[in-house]
Amino acid sequence: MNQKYLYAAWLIFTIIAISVVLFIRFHRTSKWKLKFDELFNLAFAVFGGISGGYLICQTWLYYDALQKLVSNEGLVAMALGGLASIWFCMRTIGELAGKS
Amino acid sequence: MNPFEARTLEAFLRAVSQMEQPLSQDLAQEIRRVGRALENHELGVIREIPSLVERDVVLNEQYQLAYRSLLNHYQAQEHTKSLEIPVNGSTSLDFERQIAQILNTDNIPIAAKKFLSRRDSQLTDASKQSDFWKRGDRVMAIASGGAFLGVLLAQIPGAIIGGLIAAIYAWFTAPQTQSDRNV
Repeated sequence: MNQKYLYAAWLIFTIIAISVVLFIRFHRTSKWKLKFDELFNLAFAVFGGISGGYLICQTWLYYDALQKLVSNEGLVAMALGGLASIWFCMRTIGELAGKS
Repeated sequence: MNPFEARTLEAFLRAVSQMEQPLSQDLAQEIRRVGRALENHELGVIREIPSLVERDVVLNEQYQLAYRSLLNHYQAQEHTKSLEIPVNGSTSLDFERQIAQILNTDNIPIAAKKFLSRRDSQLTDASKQSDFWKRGDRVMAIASGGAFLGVLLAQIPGAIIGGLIAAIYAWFTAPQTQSDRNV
């Protein structure tokens, strides 16, 4: 069940990211153009971002249990890992949108 | 297109765009010949540009200025970035076609001026964006360190405060960027 939600989130966020990239590119260069390798990069970057968000959600949901296992340092390290994944996803989307 | 050809072509375009007096009939015809050759992807014609500009004193002066400025810009970047005109791939072909079109128009200086102003604004935008992401990388790295140090010192509240302080510090102490220098 959980996996189905992740696939659905991937699909939805990838479509949103493609729309954002195409919209910004069209605004800048008046061309609707996205190469296959860029689409591939975008899809995997989005999934990376989803994994970061998922990690942060899980850390939040199982806060008490995880705190006993990995203590506060471990929780912060997990959240930082999630944030880094989200940041690199945003960076990829931003760079692809800015590319002419 | 090799870097020398790219630099020559860009300096030539910049020189032509600075011409306030109309170009002589002969010179305009020669420039159109260069444009037609570029359209046919005959890049050898670029090597004729330095001798071509010598026919007009003002054009030659502008060309030398533009060429020196591009060369300095290229050396200042220590070859870490490509030239402003892409030197390979389909983007380069696209540029050749666009430049050929400019050189074949009736009013070459005006067309060159419009093209360069559009291109310069695109490059400024791209440079600003790249600087934003570079600064963001720095903030992420330093804020992560601040948050982890914070959690060691004062648990979860320490992580939040440490992360925020480190992020603010990283953002405001970022080294001067390319777009800052251009302002």
